[in-house]
Amino acid sequence: MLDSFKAVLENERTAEKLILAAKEQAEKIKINAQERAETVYTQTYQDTIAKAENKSKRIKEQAKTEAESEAQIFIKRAEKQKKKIKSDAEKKFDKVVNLVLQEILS
Amino acid sequence: MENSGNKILDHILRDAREQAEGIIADANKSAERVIEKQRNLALQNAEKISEALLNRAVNDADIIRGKVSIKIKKQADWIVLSEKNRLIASVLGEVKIKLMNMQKSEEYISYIKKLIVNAGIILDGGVLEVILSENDSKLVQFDVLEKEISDRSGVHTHLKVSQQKNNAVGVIVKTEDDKIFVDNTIEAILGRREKELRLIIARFLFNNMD
Repeated sequence: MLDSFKAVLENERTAEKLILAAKEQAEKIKINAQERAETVYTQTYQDTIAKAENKSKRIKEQAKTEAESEAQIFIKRAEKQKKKIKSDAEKKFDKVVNLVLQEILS
Repeated sequence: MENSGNKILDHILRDAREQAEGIIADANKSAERVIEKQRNLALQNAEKISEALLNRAVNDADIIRGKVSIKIKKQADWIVLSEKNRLIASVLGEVKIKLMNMQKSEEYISYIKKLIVNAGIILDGGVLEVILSENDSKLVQFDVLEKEISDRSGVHTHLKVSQQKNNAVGVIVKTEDDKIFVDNTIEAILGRREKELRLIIARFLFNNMD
C-alpha cells in the first residue's frame, strides 16, 4: 500500500515537472513570438513600402518613356521644317547677300 | 488491485502530458496570433504610406510628362533656330568675304571715301588723321572729302594721312590729339552692325521677299 502511495506521489511529481516544463516552453514561445512579431512587422512594413516605391518608380519611368515617344512628333516636324528652311534659304542666298552688301555700302 | 493502481498512475501521467501539450499548443496559437496581428498592423501602417507614395508618383508622372514635352519642344525649336542661325551666319560670312575682296572692285574707293566722310562728321571735323592701308592711301584724294566734312559738320576740316598703316580693309579716323577715333574697318562695321544685319538677313531669308 505504501509502495502504491509512493508511486502515485512519484507520478504526481513527474506530472508537475511535465507541466512546469510545458509552461517554461510556453513562456519561451511567447518571448520568441514577441521577437518574431517585431521582425515580421519590420519586414512586412519594409516590403510593402519597397513595393510601393518600385511601383512609383515604374509609374514615373513609364510616364517619361511615353511622353518622349509622344513628343517625337515635334522633332520630326522640326526636322522637316529645317529642310524646308534650308532649301528656301539656299534659293535666296545670293539675293540676300547682295541686299546686305547694299545696306552696308549705301 | 494492482491493475487499478497502474491505471491511476497512467492516468496521472497521461493527464499531465495532455495538459502540457495543451499549454504548448495554446502558446503556439497565441504566438501565431501575435505575429499575425503585427503583420496586419505593419500592412495597415505601410499601406497608408504606400498610398501616399503612389499618389505622389501619379502627380510626379504628370509633371514629368509636362517637363519632357517642354524639353522636346525646346529641342525641336532649337533644331529650327540653329538652322536659321547657321544660315544667317553663312550670309554674314559671305558678305564679309565680298567686302574683304572689294578692294578689287570699282566701288571700293567711293566706299572708303564715304567711310572717311562718315567718320569725319562723327568726329565733328577739325584736324583729323586718317589711317589707311598702304595701297588705299595712294588712291584717296582728301580735298573733296575735307570740303564735304566741313560743309556737313560746320567745322573747317583738314585730313592728314597717318604714318600708321592699317592692315585691315577699311579706314580708321582719329582726332589730332589721339583722344577720339572712329574705327570704320570692315571688321568693326560688321561687329557694330551685326545685330541689325542679322535682323535684316532673317527678314529677307525667312520671309517672302518678292
